[in-house]
Amino acid sequence: MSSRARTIRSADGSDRRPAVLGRRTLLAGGGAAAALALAACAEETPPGPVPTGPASGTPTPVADAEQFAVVVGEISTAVTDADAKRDASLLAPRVVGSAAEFRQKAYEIIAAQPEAAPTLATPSSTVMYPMTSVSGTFPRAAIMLVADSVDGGFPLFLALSQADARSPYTSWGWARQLPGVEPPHIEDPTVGADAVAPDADGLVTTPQDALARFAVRLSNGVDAEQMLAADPFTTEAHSGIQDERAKLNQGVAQDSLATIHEEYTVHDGEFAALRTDDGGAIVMGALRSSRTISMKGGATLTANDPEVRLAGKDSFTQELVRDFGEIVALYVPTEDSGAQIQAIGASKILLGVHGS
Amino acid sequence: MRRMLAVVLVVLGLAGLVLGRLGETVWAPETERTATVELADPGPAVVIDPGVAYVGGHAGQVTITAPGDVTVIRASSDDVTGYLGDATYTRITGVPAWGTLSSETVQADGPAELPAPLPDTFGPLEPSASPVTLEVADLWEQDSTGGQPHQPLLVLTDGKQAGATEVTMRWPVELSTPWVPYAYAIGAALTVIGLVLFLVDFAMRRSRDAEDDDAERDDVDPAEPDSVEPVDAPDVNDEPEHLESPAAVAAPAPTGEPAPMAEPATGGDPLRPRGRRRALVGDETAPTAPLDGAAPADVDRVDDAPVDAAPAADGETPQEDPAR
Repeated sequence: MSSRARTIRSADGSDRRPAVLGRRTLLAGGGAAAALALAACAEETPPGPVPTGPASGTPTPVADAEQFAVVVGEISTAVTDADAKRDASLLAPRVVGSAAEFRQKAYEIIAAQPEAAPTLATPSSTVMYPMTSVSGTFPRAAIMLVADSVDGGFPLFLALSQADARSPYTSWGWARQLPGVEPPHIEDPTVGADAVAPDADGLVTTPQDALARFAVRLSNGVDAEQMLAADPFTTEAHSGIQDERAKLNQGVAQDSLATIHEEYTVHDGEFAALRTDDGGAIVMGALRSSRTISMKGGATLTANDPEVRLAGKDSFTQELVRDFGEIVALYVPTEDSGAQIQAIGASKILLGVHGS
Repeated sequence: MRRMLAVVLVVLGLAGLVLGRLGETVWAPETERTATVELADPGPAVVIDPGVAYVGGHAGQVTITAPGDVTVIRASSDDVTGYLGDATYTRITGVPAWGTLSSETVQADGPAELPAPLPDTFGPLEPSASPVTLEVADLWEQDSTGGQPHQPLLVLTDGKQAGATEVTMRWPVELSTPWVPYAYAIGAALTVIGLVLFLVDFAMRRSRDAEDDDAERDDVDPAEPDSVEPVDAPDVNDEPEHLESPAAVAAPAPTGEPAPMAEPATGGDPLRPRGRRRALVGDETAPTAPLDGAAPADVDRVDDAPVDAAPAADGETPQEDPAR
């Protein structure tokens, strides 16, 4: 068979050989091209650019509720431990600033005059409503509404701040929610809220000025622009002054023997503010106040009050001064809302007594 | 020509099969893509830029090797840069080519120590023994939720040692070479078609060769029977189609006498076709025409001849039917 086939091929080979060579060449070339094409198909595509995700998204809290639960729990534990041992050094590092100072003064008062021990508000570890910031820059602020450590007590607005990414959240103070005052709603804690700067505009006044106006009204009862709404804390402060004023001049003309005045000032450096749903802001700040009784016409004030004895004496011919510290929380509405600034939380504690 | 076509088809078919196999093996893409970088002096922290872990897909692993326990933190860029401050660190910036991660040193002159990271900023921190392997799918699930920009990964040890000495990313490759099934299918089809063509050609050539042999035998002198080459024993299973060949049955007897077509094959008749061809027997034989008007006595009828042209069974020459 094969020899016959060769015979046939050789018989007309002169005519077929060029065609056979052409087919072979074509076949080889086609095969090589196909192989190269297929090999090219199998080559890896180079890596693409680095995907960065959406350029910007919905602002999210810089810290979540779980993180703040840990922070608040450590604050509560620190305060509880410090109160138990009357040792303010146990407050660090979570409790700082006015809160630590207030506690330190309270321990000193308790040590000097146990009868004059002030009522110390202590935040529990239960976070009722975390109000978190979505602002990525430092320092950062947050406000937690936490339950009082005493059953039935009004909740406390706990101010938190973080100086930088290497520092822990700390609290410089807390203010008890005022009775009868509905706090404004703030953003969903899972969404967070914008931080508000002390000089932010768009509000009836800047947060910083709102605190100053509140201090002025507490001091003098003056609110010429009627920018501040009435609140239980201010009412009680003013009524307390009037009660003392009446006692000091009992049976005589008003202010004939002694005058009394309490001057409030904003304590700089402690500030927290977050945007509310309606565009306003919850603002927390610290105040200091001095209630001064000034004797007139050679009068002498003699008192057997434990609080007065903190001054180291019980007879005063010039003046008697009691120093207090306050933490307040205000709601500052938007400029176009027509609403007034409303105090929603406040706490006050005696820091010391002196006189001559 | 048919044989050439068959050969070409078989060759192409085999080539297709070979290409398919090569596509599955030599030319097949890697089952995973990798990118790695070794860091000689990275500083106390290594930052993997947002999205670098997704260059090769949303599945795979990121493996981090460090001289000590490793803490990997996924956090916002503000928190990461705020924590690093002015300290020196290394950024892993991208995948310039498969196999390589690009990196750069940041603030080379900065402090080489970092304080311990705080949960207040970064959430719960859980150091793990080196090497640490992260699932890209887990990272992607976090990064793809909420429509936020992707977040960087901050890699730390103790704030003094190198943050990491090697970072490797692996991504599985899910797609195989797509043309392999087609290469197999086309190759197999071409091979089968080529083989069929080849067999057909082979059969036809055998048939033609046999006919050529018959023709050659017909030309051989009967006085020289030795010139006929020996052949195989007759195969009774051969197809009868060869019998219909005019060259096989219509060759006139050289003597002018009726050919002994109806006689059994004896093997000694040099004029009898041989080889694989079937022996002519009985009613399979049919003279194309009676030579002397008399049909062989043992022939009842002729299969292929028209009835009206067949020789009469009684030996008379058929007459034309006057009715026709």
